[in-house]
Amino acid sequence: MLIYLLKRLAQSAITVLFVVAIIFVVIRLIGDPTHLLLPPEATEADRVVLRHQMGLDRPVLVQFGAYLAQLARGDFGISYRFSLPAGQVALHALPPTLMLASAALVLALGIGIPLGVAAAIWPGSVVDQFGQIFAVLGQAAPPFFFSLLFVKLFSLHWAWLPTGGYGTPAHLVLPALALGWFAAAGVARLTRSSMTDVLGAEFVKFARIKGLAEQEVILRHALRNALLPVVTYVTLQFGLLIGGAVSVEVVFAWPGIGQLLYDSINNLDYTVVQAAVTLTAAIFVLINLLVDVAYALIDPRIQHG
Amino acid sequence: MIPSRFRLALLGAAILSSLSLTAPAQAIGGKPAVDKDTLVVALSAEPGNLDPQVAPSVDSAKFAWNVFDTLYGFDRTGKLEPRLALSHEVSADGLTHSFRLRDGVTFHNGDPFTSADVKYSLERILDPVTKSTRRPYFINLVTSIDAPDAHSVVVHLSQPDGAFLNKVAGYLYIVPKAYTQALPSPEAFAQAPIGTGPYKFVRHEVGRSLELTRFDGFWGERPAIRNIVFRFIAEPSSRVHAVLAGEVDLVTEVAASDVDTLKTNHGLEVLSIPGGSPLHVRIYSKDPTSPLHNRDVRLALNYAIDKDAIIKSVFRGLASPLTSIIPSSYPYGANPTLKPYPYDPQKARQLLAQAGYPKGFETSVYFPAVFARGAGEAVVAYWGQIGVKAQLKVIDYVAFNRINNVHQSGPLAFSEFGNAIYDPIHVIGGSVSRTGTWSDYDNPEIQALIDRIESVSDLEQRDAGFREILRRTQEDGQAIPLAELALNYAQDSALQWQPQIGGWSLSFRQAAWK
Repeated sequence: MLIYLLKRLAQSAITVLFVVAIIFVVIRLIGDPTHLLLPPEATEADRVVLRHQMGLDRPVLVQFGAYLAQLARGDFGISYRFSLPAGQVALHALPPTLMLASAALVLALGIGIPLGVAAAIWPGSVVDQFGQIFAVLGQAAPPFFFSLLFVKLFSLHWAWLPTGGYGTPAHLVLPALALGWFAAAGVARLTRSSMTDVLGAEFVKFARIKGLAEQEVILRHALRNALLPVVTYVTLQFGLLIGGAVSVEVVFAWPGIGQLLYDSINNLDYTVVQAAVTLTAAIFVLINLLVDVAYALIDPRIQHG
Repeated sequence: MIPSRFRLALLGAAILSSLSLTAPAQAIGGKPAVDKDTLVVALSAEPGNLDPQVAPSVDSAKFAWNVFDTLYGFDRTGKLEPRLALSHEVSADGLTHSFRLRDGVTFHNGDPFTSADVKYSLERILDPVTKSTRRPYFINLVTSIDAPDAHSVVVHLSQPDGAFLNKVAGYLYIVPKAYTQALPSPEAFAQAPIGTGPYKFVRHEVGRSLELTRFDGFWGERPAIRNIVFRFIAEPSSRVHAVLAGEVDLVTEVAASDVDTLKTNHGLEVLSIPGGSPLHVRIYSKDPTSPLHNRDVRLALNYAIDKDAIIKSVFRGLASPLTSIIPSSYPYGANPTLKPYPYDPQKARQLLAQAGYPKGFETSVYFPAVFARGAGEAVVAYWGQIGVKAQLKVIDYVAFNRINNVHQSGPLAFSEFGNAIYDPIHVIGGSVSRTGTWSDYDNPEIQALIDRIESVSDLEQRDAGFREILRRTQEDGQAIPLAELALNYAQDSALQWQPQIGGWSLSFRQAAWK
């Protein structure tokens, strides 16, 4: 098991390294930050001077080598835009993103699973219909749309919650709802179909024939089995929520990593883009690693050797 | 089964859409977001770098005017006024600028302000290690700086520059020498900036807020509001929502389409002021094989457009007619005697025929995606009416800047630029002069006028010189001026504050709660 773990860790490190390399090259293809930083009157000579100071006049391979050496010391470089350490800027944006993604996920599970289960137990019922509409809306309308809708409703019309910003639990509610609905829709649909399958399976019929109470059949036998694919889906969703919350973060001025990445790309702040991408990639890979390890522990069919 | 589900969905959609249209009904006026000691301002973009010598001017102007001082500064209309300097003299040859400095000024850390700080500040900009974005303005101009005594500074130039004082006012923020030199790295200043301005830096949380508080040792008039809090809300509708909900007291860059809604709210005051930025179509006219090399064609493209209609429909009236690339809100240099080319498609067709293009021609025009799309579509449609089939190439702003600043955005490009120094040379030098960053225009007669004005310091002569240049550029169809857009702000009606005319700088020296 230990060897398996070490092997997977090494694989994960290589994956992150690849991501770092790709983003390092790609961001340099998008544009030259000296064009954005210097005033338009600047001459090519002025840009050459600044490029040299920023170390951007060296071949990309040399730059990358120097960057790796820096990274080994835990140094992500200095943000062009803030003159602050890029790693510090990216780390600062991480807690809000993790908080938002976790809250959205809790909502997704809290709403999605009961809704999916109920829909599977009573297909065609009002609950099922509501679940369908809930899921279709959640998946068809982008989180952006719900964000704006929620602000109009809860912040402007009823003035219950702030329109945006960060700091108190009240600030978390709307963005978490907007993002959580999107994730809950998927969870509800998946739970419903998975549960429907399981409810038709032989062992559930057998449990009923045994004379077990319906509640016990559903909660103890059916749900536990039906949730396996949901768990996989949700862990993947968490990764997506971390990187994909940009639109929600922008609407709510939520100071997360999505918004930071968006701004940093627009400002060609190479060092921060690199730091933020490295950080999210590392988290993503780590989550996948944990899931794999958990599976390996649970499922005896997975060989580790 | 299916119909009922369909009905339910319809009902749901109807409920949602009716709610989303509900107009917010809230009283904001007189209820500050925090309290009457605090002003909360929502900005569209974070003023990232707090080192005013390093940050690009668009960013730094949002906060630097409050934290730092310059030797001379601009009043609300863009006129020069003394700040840390008491007086200024320029030698007859225009090469020596002498400043007499104000006495009794202290920095936020208690250090006294002297000529050594001025000399250091300018030298710091020139030093490549600082990575100053202002270096290009001074590097080929300033040869040396002397500080003969604690309250005099003499700057020697390599050539006369009639706009030197404007550059000093717009670009030369004064930082304390002893403090800055003692910092471990050039970047460290941005983390704890020190100036002589009426507000001092308290805290900056990246992506969240920037807080300033009043500096009690300020040499000038004490501002009325103690604390300034900047919040960063990139999404335009979210900014509007924040001020409607009373979470912020002032929002910048309100979209023209939101202005009418906000005006109906009695708790809010909407301020629309001339933005000082000329929205125009840049023409690449140097190439003799291009139809645009022909003056008649350029004039035809001007006559073909109904600019008043665009102002009315696209910009909802929140823009003014533009006759040249220097809008009328400039403190000097604009030419008020010029009239815009009237909308006259008949004449446009005639001019095209005269130029040898009776059936028009095909071309393309770059359009940065941040501009109001309707303006681009309207212009292309008007040109279509006279047979000029122009393809609208919508492009991301960063990508556009990159090509627009290196003469790659031809043959036509929608352009707009602000001016941090209020002197027209920034714009004329940039887009009319032969060597300009955005200029693909080369007119020897106009060039001679520009070369001459570079060394003229006298304001009246400068004003007259620019007027003449603008008259000639209009006659020659140097560009296609469309409109001067207004900058719109919305603030709590209990707040007394007036924005800068023709600029995006924010100064809260005069702000007060009623």
